[in-house]
Amino acid sequence: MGLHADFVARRDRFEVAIVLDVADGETLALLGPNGAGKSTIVDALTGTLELAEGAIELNGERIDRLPPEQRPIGVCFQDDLLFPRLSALENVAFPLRARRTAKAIARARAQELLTRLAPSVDPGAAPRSLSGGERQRVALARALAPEPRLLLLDEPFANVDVSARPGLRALVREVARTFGGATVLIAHDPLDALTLADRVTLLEEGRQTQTGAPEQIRNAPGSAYAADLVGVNLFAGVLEPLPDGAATLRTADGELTVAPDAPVGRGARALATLKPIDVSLHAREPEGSARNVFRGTISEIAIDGDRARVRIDTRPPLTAEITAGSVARMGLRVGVEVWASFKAVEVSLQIESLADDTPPAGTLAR
Amino acid sequence: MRARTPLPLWILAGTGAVFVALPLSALLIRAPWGDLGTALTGVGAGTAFRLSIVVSLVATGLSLLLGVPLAWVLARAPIPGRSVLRAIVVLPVVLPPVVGGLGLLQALGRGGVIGRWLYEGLGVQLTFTIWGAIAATTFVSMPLVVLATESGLRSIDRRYERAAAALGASPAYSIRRIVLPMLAPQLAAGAVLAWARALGEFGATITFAGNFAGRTQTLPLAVYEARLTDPGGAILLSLLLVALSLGVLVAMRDRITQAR
Repeated sequence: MGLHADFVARRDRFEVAIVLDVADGETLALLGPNGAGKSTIVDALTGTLELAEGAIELNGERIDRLPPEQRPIGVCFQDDLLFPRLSALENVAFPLRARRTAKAIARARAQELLTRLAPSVDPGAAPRSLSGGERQRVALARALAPEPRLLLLDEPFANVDVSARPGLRALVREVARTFGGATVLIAHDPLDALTLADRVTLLEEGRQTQTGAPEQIRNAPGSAYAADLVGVNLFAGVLEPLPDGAATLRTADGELTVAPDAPVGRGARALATLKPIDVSLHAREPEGSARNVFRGTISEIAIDGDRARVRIDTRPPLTAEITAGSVARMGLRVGVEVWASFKAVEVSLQIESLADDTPPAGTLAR
Repeated sequence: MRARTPLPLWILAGTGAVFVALPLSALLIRAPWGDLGTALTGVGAGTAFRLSIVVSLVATGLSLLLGVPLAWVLARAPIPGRSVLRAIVVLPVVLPPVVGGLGLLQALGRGGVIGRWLYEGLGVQLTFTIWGAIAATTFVSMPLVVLATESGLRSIDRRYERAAAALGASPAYSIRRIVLPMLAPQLAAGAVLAWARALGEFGATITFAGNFAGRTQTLPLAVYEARLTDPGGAILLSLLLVALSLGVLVAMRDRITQAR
């Protein structure tokens, strides 16, 4: 059960061909640059754009010939698109009222959803008076109101302040797992796709170039574009402040030193990314200022043109990107031991949850 | 730095202002204020006033009822010859009203293209009745509603309508709950403009509906008739129209400020 879509959709001269399978309770992220066809897929799924070929099935029933209003899909739009003349509560009740649910029942259900998903929002408030994060929470409640079988999240974090993102991301993750249907997340930011989705599909110019678990895509990106976009080192762990303002990030596979740009509390959960290009490889133990120095065995080398991705069994495991020439010059091959180093400031850090009694902090980039 | 206003500009601007204000001042100066009571409570004036209010309000209602869907079609429906249709619909704004009245007479008059069938088949006659006055007034007022609504529709972000559809709203429900509320400022502006135009309507009404006290004689027609027999009364009736129109303009200004 869940979503099975296999279709071609055309808009103007642009064509998108895609196969999507998403089980109930599962989240699939569609990740691609602007113009890759993400909005065309959204319109095809919601029904505002007719399919050129193929079919969309939800729980085994074809929905592609149904008009938009009859498809059991809840949509959270980019820019939230809350109706400006309706209150927060009326916005959430809208999909129910549109389906002729009695007013009292619709409002009660809307109130319940708002209380659960957007507790800080006054139900009578005009959308204009809410913050970006609050608006997106209301939009999520609105999408869930009619108990959809498919939740479509179109770049839900695009207009949300960075400080409100972790909370919203956690909410989206919980909702996607528990609401009972399949979730498709349209993402522009690779971090959203990698951290929220069970599987990721990469889109380039209307074509699916790679589909797989985030881990798989991260470790073995199928193209140069994918490597740039998602081929990052990703660390999830708990922070421990160091006396000099830096911090240690403890992950399940080892520790690294990071440089938060504001004080962090002990025990704060954080996500950290590191670009492979920022990781240097050395044949001998390096001298210099880099605070992160690891020793490990090369487990994989992938050469793509003049670039090479080198995977090293350090703790935590690292991927470095160097030139193909360096691979030859240093005599690197699988099984060889090397040193890897990177600076603490190269790690970009996103605080997911705060430790007890620490002031709220936003994204601590770098 | 403030730009200095050259003297010739002051002179021309002053002349312009005086030119507009003078007739109004003259009405105020020459009005027989002593007869105010009799002129305004007199049977003829009261009837004309009530008729004017009824005709202008019904015409405004009809203009909205027909004009808003027409604006929708012009703004949204895929129709061929859209610009020609728009030009025809908006024509009454620039057309001399007497020409409109003549056209209405040829179409809906007792011997008119359609009026003949109405009269002979159904016994319905529009000319010389209050419905004739309403038809003539609607003819000149409706384009104003169409213009205001169409420009409003074009300024609305269409993604809201797509969102409404994706969230389960039928097109009709989406229009009622989402589009019309978003259009409210333009609808209000269109309605006020249409009403003001309806209130002052003269040419089409007198040509098509005639000038019959109690049936088709609205305030402007009453002023026109009284100007020879009772010039003082005509002035007082005119001032009544001035007051009403000025009220509309002031209300209109507030509407526009709110819409922003």
